Amino acid sequence: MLIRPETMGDTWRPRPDGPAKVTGSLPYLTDLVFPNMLIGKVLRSAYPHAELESIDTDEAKRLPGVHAILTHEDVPRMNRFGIVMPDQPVFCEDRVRFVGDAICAVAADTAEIATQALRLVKVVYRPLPVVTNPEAALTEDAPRLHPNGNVLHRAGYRRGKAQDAMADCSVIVEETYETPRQMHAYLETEGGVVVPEEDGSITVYMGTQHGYRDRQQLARILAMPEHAIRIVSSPMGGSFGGKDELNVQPYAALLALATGRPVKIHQTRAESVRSALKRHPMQIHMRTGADANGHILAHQVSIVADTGAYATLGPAVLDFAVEHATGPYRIPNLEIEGVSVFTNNGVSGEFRGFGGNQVTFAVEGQVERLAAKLGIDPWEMRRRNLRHAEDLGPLGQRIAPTDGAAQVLEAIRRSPVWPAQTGAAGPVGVGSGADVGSGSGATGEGLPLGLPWKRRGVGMALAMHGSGLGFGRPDPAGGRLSLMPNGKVEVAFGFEEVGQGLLAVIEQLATSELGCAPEDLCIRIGDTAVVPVSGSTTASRATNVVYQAIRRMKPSWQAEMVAAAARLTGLPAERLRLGPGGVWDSERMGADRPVLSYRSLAQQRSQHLPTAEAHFSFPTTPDAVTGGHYLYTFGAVVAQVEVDLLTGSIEVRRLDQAIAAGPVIHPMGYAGQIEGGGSMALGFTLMEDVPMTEGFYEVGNFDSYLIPTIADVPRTVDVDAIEQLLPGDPFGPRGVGEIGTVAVAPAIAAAVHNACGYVAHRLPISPKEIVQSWGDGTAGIGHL
Amino acid sequence: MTTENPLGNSPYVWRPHTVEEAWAIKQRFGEDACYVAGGTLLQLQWEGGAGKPRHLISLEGIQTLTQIRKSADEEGLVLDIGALCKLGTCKAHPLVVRNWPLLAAACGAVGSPAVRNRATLGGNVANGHGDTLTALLALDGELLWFDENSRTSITTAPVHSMVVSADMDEDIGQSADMDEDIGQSADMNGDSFGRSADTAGPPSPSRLLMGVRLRRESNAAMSGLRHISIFRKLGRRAAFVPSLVTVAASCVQRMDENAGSGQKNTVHATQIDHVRLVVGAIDFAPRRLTAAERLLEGAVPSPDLWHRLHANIMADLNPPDHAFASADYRRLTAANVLVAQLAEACSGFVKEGIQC
Repeated sequence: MLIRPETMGDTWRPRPDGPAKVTGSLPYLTDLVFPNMLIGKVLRSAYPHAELESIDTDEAKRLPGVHAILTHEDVPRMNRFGIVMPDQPVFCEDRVRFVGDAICAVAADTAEIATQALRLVKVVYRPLPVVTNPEAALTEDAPRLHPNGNVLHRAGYRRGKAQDAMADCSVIVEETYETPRQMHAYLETEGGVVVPEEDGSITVYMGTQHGYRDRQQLARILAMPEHAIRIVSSPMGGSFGGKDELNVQPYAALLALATGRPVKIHQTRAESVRSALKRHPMQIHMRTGADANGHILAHQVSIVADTGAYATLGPAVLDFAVEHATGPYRIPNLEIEGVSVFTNNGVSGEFRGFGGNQVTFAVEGQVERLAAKLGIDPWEMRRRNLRHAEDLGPLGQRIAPTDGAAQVLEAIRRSPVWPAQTGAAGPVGVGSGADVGSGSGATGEGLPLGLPWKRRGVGMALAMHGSGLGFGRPDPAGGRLSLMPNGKVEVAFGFEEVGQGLLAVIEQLATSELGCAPEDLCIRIGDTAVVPVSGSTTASRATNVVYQAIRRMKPSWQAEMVAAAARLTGLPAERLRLGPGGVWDSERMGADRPVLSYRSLAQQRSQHLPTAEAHFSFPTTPDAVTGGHYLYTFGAVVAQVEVDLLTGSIEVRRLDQAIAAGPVIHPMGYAGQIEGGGSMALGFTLMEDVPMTEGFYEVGNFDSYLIPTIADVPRTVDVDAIEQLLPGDPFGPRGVGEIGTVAVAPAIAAAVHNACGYVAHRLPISPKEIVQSWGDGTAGIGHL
Repeated sequence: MTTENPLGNSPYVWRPHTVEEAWAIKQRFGEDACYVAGGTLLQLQWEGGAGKPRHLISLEGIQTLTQIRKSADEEGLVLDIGALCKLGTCKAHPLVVRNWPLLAAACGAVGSPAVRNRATLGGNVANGHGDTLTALLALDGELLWFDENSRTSITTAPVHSMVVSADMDEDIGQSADMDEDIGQSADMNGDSFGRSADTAGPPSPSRLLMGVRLRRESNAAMSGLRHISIFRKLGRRAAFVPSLVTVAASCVQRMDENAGSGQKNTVHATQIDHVRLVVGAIDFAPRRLTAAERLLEGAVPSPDLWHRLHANIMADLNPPDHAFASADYRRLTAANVLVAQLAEACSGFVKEGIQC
């Protein structure tokens, strides 16, 4: 089903928070102002790797307008944070490991005074050799960044005998792929306000992707009980994984407690670039062999991830990359190993796609190369190797049966630009020696503008993407449904609205499942004082949790509501049902109002208002495979590009995606996730990277770190949502927050090759390499 | 903290209503003062860590600088565009679009729509490496200056004088000079409106850019000729991007419509004249490629000519390395784009207009 406004009927409606967001009237947490509020700033390390000899804050403390300056000596309990293993110092004691490491923090009357105070702090460093890349970090004589050395995590998977099976292969392709250090580039930089309350507790108004986990981490740092910390974490101006880990919460909290006053920290973009997480750059070596019929027999993979200075979710990202390194394919012989390595290059961590984007670029590149060598159409090559509905998961674990791979493969053929639709010969595939001068990449479209230096091409790619945190990781889920005294139906989840459209999903599911109208609802999220535990707002899990929770709560809550209404109205319960505005008499549905409004019900009942809660775990594989997933979504992408041979610049003209993720809940939000994810991945493919030199960032702002603008994204993007699940599938809609980003890069890379013969193995794709891939770089004037 | 300024670190903002007033304030505070028009470049520089001046002299209230004035003499059309004219206005102005599409294209290539609603032509010209400067150089534009000597009148100077001294013109490859040029640009602290007209030197407090003058020959003079112009800005994305390479070219070509197949809109490849080829970028001031211009001047297009032009530019152009584009890539793309697009434009299939 193509998602188009005209085919969506009543469900095509704006999200509840949409108008306030696009008009700019919605206040974010970083907009909050409290009486007596101070401004906090954090001093970050001047070096990427150094011993700290001394920190002298005396002069800074004497600056008028300064109210507190804190260092590691002021941290009440654990001077560390980190979701998986708390190894990142809140404040560094004796050593810094990246340029975002915090030395001290100041609270002052104004941002200017706070900045001035930080200038007055005297820090004596003794610079140490900088570990600039993971390969160097793994050598014997590399400086050890952590007590256990420079290996954060190793992961791997084997099946069959890959090395031996290579001997049976007709063709083998071998390539090393490199992916960039992408920045999340959320519009709202990290920040908010921490307010000390009269009872000794604190309220933290700062975005995160898991309020309860922030509370747990902060409790350890502040030596406070968790119940004394309230986290208000919605709405947020974007996160994409980047605000999943703690960022400035500890500093604002410590300063608020030290001064007894509200403290606001809102990082500038430059501060954000310096301190915040990035996507793991990965170097992925693959050796893949197939028989003469195109059946892949063996696949050897080696992944090296640059995880930067601290762990955060680095281990899980690597596990995910290992799991997804085979794509949606049946490969009998596998040998996958990965290592995540500490360096002094910032901190890499959680980012939409979670390691999948990197390995999908690589494995899809391998499939293209094999297809080309064998002379098999790239679509057909994929079909021959595609997983089946009942197959085990990529790590040999049991998964929820799914036909998603075949569904998206079939659907993406219908893209109007795919050769099957244009009647042109199929793309020739990578490495076939396509000659740029021959125009072989034009796929029947010729030279659209009559400009002899332009070439068009199309390419495709597939992706498989697990949702939820994976086996072995606590993945609690839940929600609460209750009638409030004012007659509103409260739907509460411990999730955050990060821009993904969560409120629309909750509204849509609650109204369709419960029968009430959007106006009847009071949606509560993002505030630990009032929401239940739902787990993290990550890993494409929230939509599924909302669906499952409402389905679980609905029977008992509805029954309780109806029973209460029956007692109050004297009508038999069987005749009553919930509807817009209240409880309706099913024999008088034509009436102009319910027999009992929710408000009346709440007022007359007054006590013990109907409430239901759900507590469960996100669906997990029963097999003890660490990190292994159970629910998977699938995506297929067709990209059409136009390459300018004069400059090597690439215009993506079309980016169609077919997605198999179960029923669509909110079509506008669904399409938004896939289109937006596609644009973000387009940036990853064509322009985004944070280069580093000796541990220092080469970019500091969006004037040099470039993300796509509206002029860079295709005007036409078809989103084909495949809603059919296998019969009996009880899990409902899967999330689509990530899948739209995963297969874009390899599809664009294949299209570029198809257009001009250039084979990309590194992202972002280099226009220079495209131009220079024909000797003297003058292919664009070859016609003269 | 210093407490002299009751506004803390915020600069004083002066809002003069006349050029003379603005000029006088600048004389009074010298290096402590900086003209500001749209403020978009200053903002970028401040964000990048540059210090703010003590005094900002806002030119926004000087109405005369916002005007676009057309006049005509026997030689043709003359257009004076006020320095305070917004880039967005300039880009869409009918006279500019019709007669100087190259400048319209350059204005449209700067920043984003929001930036172009604030940023001014004067600011983009006076910063020394703006895209419009590249275009104006190819159009033989003139700059209108208010200076110490003229006080009440205006001095005109060729755009050429803005970017380079005569002896450097021949050699864009003097990288040492260019580095210095860049350094000075960075030190300008946005004081672009007062930049010296004579060299790419430090800001001169004695000059204020009033506007830009463009001329176009009369219809009679252009009889049998057609204008060809090329503008292309290459960055790391499609829009709102610093230039890695900007090229602008302008020439006239004799039309010989009687010869050949006689197809409508088809003219034969004939002699080209008045050739201007310019290359600029975010980090180097635009330069005319005079050797390449001489090669084309009076020549009749042919494959051989275009290949010689390519070789000439490759030998002559020596841009600096940039963090996101090597010197050889910039050289190659400049040569490729100029040659391919000029060849296309001169081949007779494009009657008149601009290729971007």
